[in-house]
Amino acid sequence: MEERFGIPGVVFDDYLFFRRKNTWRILRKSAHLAKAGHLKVEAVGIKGFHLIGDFIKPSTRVIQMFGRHAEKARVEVNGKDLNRLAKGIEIPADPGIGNGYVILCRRGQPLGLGLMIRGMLRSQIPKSESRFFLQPY
Amino acid sequence: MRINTLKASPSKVVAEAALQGFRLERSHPTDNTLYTATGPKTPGNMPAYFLGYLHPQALTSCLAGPALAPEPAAYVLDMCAAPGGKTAHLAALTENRGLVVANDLHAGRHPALAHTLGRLGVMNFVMTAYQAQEFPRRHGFQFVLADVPCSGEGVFRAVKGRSKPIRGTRAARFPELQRRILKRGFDLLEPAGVLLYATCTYDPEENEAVVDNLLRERDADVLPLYPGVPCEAGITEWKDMRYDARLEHTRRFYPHGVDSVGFYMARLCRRD
Repeated sequence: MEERFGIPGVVFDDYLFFRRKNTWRILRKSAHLAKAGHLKVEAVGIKGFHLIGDFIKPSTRVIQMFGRHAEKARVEVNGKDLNRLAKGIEIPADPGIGNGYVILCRRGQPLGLGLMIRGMLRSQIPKSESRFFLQPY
Repeated sequence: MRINTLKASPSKVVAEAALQGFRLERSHPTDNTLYTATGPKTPGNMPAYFLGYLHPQALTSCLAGPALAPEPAAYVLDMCAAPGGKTAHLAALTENRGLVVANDLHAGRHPALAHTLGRLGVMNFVMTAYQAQEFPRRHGFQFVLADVPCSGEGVFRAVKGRSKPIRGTRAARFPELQRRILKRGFDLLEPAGVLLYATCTYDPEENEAVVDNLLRERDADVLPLYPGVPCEAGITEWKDMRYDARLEHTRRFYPHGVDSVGFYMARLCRRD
């Protein structure tokens, strides 16, 4: 997150990361965790990251929660472009950002993840949730 | 609907909703996170929903969290958590610190619970799948919410497709199950802990009778409730039954009074 998005590592100092297979979940640290240690737990915190090949892909929720701390690889999109991205259409974007994941923002608010490849941007927001941006926003 | 303060301020959401053609009006005199939305569609279709700024929720459901009133960084148990609206509200009240144990027996309801908590930015929860009435007792909680399974008489005015309450053998099992869950919830309280018992039904057998049973079998007391919306005192008589007089401090919410889902709440603690 620091290398790609410029999110300082200190932002995650208050969180614990739990890895199971190719997924990491994030949980806020708490003094009460020791008390909960005897419980048979099904899940902890939110899904944070997923390993895809050699790349670690942040989840939409993590981008929404922590994306405001990003200092690079942020792409501000207007309503029209957001609508096109939601339809699965790639749009041209600043190639200076470089290939890789970017944070899609609207009015400065992180919405989710995008993927930049050779100056073309595509949405990584789950299709089931892209419907929210098929309307003007 | 409830505005999720973990992700956005009420003023920001009101402004965003206006851009989408929605008008938000306060639905509670003192809580500035509770609103009624009128607009071209339901609030669940707004981008603000996807972003976790808001959660569509009945007004009476939104009252459970403030009634329990967990402190920031508290240790909280939601015994029957799915689909997670009240759990997320409790997490918001703890300011995403402390720890919220979101328990629900039914694995089939866990995806909905995880989705709700994830969307609303809840970072301080663990999910468990115990039978609520058998939840392990090794450590006590500061706050416990027992929003128990019930016959749902309170929802059939508000929810499409639920024109009838649950009846028959399943409904007949509710009071015994509710008594057991409430007793376990009480046993899970730390000495200064607070428990909220809640149902969305009117049946005294599932409300006052259950709390009355707890008052007889445990050293429990009823705390006053000031929900800030029209409601009625709990009843102390039903048919040939007489309940503990302290049940007057519990609260009944009727749709004609609050224009929402019918509800019952009792706030309980250990007696000094």
